[in-house]
Amino acid sequence: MTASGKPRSRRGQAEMIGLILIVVILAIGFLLYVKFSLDSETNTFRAKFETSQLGQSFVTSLAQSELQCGTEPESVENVVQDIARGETRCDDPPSTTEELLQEHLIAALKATHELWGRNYNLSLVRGVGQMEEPLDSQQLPALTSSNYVGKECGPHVPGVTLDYQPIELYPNPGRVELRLYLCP
Amino acid sequence: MKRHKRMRNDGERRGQIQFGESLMVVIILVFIMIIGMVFYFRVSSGSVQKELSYREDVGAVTLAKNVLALPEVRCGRLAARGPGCIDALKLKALANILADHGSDTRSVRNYYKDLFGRATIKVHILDLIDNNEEIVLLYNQRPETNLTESRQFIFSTFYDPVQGRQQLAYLNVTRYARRAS
Repeated sequence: MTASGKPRSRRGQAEMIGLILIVVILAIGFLLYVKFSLDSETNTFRAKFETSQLGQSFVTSLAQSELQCGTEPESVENVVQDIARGETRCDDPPSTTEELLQEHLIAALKATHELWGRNYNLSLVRGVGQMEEPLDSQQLPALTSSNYVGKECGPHVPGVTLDYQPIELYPNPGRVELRLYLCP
Repeated sequence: MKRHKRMRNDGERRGQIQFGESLMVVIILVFIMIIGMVFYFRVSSGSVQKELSYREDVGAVTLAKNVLALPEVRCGRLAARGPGCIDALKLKALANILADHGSDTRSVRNYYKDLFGRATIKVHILDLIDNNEEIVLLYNQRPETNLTESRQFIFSTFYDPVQGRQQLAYLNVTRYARRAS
């Protein structure tokens, strides 16, 4: 018996019930936290879906868009094929074919992703079999967003999306990929 | 007698303390339950809002893709200009019809109203040589009050068969939804 007259066992039971209540409340809190975490995963998926939609349509359309090649317009796809084969029919002294293509790509990015404040990385990669190398790292370096200096977008960034447009070099072997990374 | 009275007073006081203790426990429990309910309802309404917003975004993407697939605007097969190409002449002809408020074009406008719903569809044509941008307003049905907007961009090319030139372009699709505030 306690001083208050209640049996010790009954008081112990009440304390146990209190303890169980605390555990139940903590469990509910934990479940809500897990629910929140899953919701944010869904958001990430949604963001990726939207970004990828934009990126894929961009590279596909960019490959079909035309730039001035001498007196005639020529598609980016054809100009890239020319560069990969070492042809220079678009040269317009003092500008080279590579410079004309680079200007076109920069203008396209400035009018769209740069304007919308997106962090991007656009590059031309030549692939033969399993081997990969930049198409022309000197004259056609990867183009990155000027708004994100020091936080360059690339495959190492978490949540990045990659979209690419292959440009076949047939009858020559291999292909060139127009690769666009969009970072969150 | 005195001892008996003092013992009764002690018992009453102890009872009061125990009653207050129980009351505090009940108040704290009710308080925790109210906080939990508020939290739960806030999370529920938040997830409903997210789901609605997601559906609106997906709807805007679908609408943009549907516009690109319309034979009224897309490039003919003979032009062989690749997928997602918009024909300049077709686009401008359709935009003119939809901008015309005359009675002759009412049935056409109603057809596109059913097809596109409450939305604004613009085509941005990028002239990358002269660094110009031309915007063609294809369709505009913007409700006046109490609306939420969901905007999507999708890239395309814009082919002018007269000039024989294919430019980069993008569709700017805004879908409007009436939602209770």
